[in-house]
Amino acid sequence: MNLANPHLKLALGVGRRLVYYLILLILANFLMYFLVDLAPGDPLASAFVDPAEVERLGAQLGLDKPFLERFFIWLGNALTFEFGFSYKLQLGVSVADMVLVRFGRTVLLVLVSLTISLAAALVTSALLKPEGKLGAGLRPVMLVLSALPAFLLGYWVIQGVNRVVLNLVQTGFFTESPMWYPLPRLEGGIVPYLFAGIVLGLGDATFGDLLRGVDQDLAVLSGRRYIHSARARGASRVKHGLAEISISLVGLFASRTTFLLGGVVIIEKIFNLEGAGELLWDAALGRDYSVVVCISFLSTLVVIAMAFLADIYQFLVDPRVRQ
Amino acid sequence: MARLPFFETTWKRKARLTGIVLGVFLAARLLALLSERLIGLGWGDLPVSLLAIVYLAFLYVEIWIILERHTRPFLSVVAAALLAALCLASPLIPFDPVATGSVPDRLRFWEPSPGLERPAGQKITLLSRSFLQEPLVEAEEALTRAEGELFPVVGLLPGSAFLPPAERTALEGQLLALVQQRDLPPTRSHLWAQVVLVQLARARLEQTLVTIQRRVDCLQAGAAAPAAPAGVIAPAPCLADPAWSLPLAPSLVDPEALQEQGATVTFIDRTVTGLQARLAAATAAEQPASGAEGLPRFRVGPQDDPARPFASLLAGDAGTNPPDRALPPDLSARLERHESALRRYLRSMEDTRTLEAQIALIPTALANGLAARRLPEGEVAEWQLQEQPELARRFEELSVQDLQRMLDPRPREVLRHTEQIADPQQQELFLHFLAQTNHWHLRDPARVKARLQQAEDEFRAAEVIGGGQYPPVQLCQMLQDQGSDAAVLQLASLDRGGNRHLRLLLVHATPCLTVWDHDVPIYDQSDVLGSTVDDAAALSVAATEFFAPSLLGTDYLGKDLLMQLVKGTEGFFLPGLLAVAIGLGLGVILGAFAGYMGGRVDKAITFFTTLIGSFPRLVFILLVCTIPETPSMLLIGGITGALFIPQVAEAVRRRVLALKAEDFIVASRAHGLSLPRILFYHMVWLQCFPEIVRQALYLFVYVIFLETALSYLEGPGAPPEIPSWGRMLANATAAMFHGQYWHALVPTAAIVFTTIGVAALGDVIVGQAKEERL
Repeated sequence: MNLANPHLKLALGVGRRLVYYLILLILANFLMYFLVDLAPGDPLASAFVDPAEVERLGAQLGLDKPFLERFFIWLGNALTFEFGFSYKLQLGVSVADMVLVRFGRTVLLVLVSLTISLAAALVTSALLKPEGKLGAGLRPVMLVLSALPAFLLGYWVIQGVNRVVLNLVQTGFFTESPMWYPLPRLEGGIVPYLFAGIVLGLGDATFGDLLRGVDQDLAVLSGRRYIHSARARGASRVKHGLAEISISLVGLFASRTTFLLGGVVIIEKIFNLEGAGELLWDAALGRDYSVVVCISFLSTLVVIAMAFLADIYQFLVDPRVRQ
Repeated sequence: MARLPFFETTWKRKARLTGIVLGVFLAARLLALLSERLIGLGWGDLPVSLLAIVYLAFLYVEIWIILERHTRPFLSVVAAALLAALCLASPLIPFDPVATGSVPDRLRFWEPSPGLERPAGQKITLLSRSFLQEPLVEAEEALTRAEGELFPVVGLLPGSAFLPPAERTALEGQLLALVQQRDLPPTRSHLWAQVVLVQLARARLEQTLVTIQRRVDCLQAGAAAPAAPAGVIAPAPCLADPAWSLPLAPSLVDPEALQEQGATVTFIDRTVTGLQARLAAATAAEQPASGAEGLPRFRVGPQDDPARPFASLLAGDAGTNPPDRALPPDLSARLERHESALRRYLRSMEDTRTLEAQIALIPTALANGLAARRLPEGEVAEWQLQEQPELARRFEELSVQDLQRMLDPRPREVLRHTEQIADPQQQELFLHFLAQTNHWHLRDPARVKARLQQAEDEFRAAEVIGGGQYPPVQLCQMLQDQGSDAAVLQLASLDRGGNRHLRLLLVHATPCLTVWDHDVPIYDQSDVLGSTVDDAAALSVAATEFFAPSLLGTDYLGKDLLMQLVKGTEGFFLPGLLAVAIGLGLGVILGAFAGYMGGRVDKAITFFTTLIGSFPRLVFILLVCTIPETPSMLLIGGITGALFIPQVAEAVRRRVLALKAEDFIVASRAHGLSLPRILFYHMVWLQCFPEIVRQALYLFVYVIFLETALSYLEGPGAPPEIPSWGRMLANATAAMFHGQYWHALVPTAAIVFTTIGVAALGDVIVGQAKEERL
């Protein structure tokens, strides 16, 4: 076997990363499963009075097996997107049916909002220098807005649009006409999603953190010698610096996904968007464990997948890591 | 080492700064003292005050640093002054009810009362001169008396104790007899008692409606109003009627069959249906009483036909009233107002939640020995009874009185104290004043005692004016008769608990509201929010305008915003500190070791932090919140801290890693300094301090985000009876329906100032440390 073969090296590196993240995923879900196992209450016992019946059904469902075995059965099912049934919110409905479409919607919202936010941070960082007049005026405003809780921004947007634009008094978000449906069953139209995405990408210090990160990266980049020499030769700085900056941007993107997946719960609740976050909220308050666990699993999966992809990207682009 | 700017200045400035800090401290103390006089935040709230002072001092230091170090201090000052001015001016913004034209039909669930609409460009005169000088004063008095009879109706319902004791005992005796007459299995008797209570209340309501109409007719015809029944009010006719015995029994089993028979069944509402489902389950083995003979002889209730106003219902009742007589316009306007109140009352009775939750509460209350207010869903009651035979046995021994006492949501101590007052009028007055104290104080026995003392003092103060013989309504009417604002001001000066009470007294003074402020379950804020009358809100706002009672004004229930603001810091302060302690403690240790040791330790720790970091925070918090019975904010704070470990650890690790090869570290190692000293003093404490402070502040801000968002959405960890900034914002949304949009300013300003201030403080500290290093 020729270890110097770059393709083999690449494959080995990717494979090692994959194993690492798989172990991470399994351990994270083990922790989660363990926590939920601690939770009080037995859905079977609450549904059936007869203890013999409870025991029989429990055996039938495999509840009498040891904890580890149950965990691996659950994990196996979860990896094939089989999450059992809801027993509080919609009794007997398959959790996968309830969650998957909504979760797709939520992830879409998070990714779009993160993309908007990152693009805005990049543009601000590159064009609005803090020394310049425009930058000195605009940056503090953006940072102050970003330092606010997202739910408060959402509240302002909702109240502002309702009172000023639509001239209504109401708590939720309301649009007169549905406009465009990016995914099935988006009843309110795209406008609430747009607002929610912007609010999510701005508030809870998301934009501020991204801007700080991009600022730092750009400062480091512009200090590099190869950039200087490229500039001296009249070559494009963007073209030469793109590879390096893109690595850190992808890293920022991946690391912020975690935050936004959390924040989206409250944003969806406030904007009344039918996403997984809202469902998680209801399920957590109603103690529908199977739904909670399913959404937690999917969220962890997305986070870890993002981290994995960012790693792979760095691996592909950065020759130093490959060495 | 990065230090606070305090340590770098000259002695003169230090002295000045210390003076300012002391001044702020003393001012805060003074504020606490004043607050006792102004907003009733007394020494009993010393912990809260101390917390608030610590918090204020913290804000002060932070603002000082920002002003000193920020590039644009002028702008910050201007922005702060602007928002502060807005907050201070909020009570002065004129009251402007929602322009009904812009409210879509589906949202128009309340109608502003005609009597309370503000004349254009004119201040509402308190004590409602308009009410007094109208020609219909007499009619109004009659209506007031008639409405006074609605009290018993309310008193029959759990949670209200305004029924005169003698009458309550009599009615309860009848109830008990009815329940026993049915010879029910004891476990189900409380359900029956509830059904009967509801039915009785309905019957009384009916009766009162008829009485009101009679009075109105008499007045209209110019005849003298019939005297109000003296003493104990006669029992409802249905109770005297032997055929009435539990008329709803068949309908409980099959209401639709009854409707097919053409029976005019009324008042089958969600309350009864909810109870009925439980009863039907319990009576599955038992044969239901059959036949339509024993059916209720109620007429069709007003809520059956929402389109038909009460006035027409009453006017068209040929049995009792002369037909075809149009009411005078003013009187019909009063009736319409009355109608909205009655309708609201009926609607509130339709709310099964309270009743069912309270029924579910009984076993738990027995088991715990106290009536806990919050229960999950009402599904556990039956199950628990089956599981615990001893509990079930004790439960069956209960009398209706016991049940009612258990269903009473007030704390035991308050009840006991109330029972000691012999005179019913005094008792009512006492309860009335007690009701206006801030109910979150009633959770702690020590506070209950303090509050009781205060309530008693207020009671005495009112006694001085009223001569000890007038209940609040009459007291206010007396004041009205005197017609002098001076009398009111005198009352205000005596009322040391603050003008809030006076305001509620004024609400009391308005005849049409008499029913309503008794009906509101005062100890449950959410219920208050759900069922309060807009009239009360309007009046309280008018009173707010008149007296300008507190610095920030009041919310639409007349509760002081400043007090809520101060009290609201409690929600995130300790959880935030806990989060910081956990997140920083573990994060710094792990990060320092990972950076210093390197190799396998580093890998293991990094793996651990990555593991924790792979949970989206709020998702994980919600997951953990499903585990305990009642998730508290402290738990959420702790978890938040744990979830911040990766971030802190990574920051510390990166710094320690960079420092490891520095000469001075190598030198200290060569000097033989111990590992903890090098690691935690020379590296972490002296070098990472600014970064750690920044992380700590960010963590604290995140807990504020969480707390406000969770309490805004009524999520886990936010008990409804405790004020919090998020809930203030949610209440402000509710107030917006009453047209009082400025309420949102106060919590918003609090959240904005705090989050931005704390975040900016972190940035300033880090920036300063960078400057030093350069």
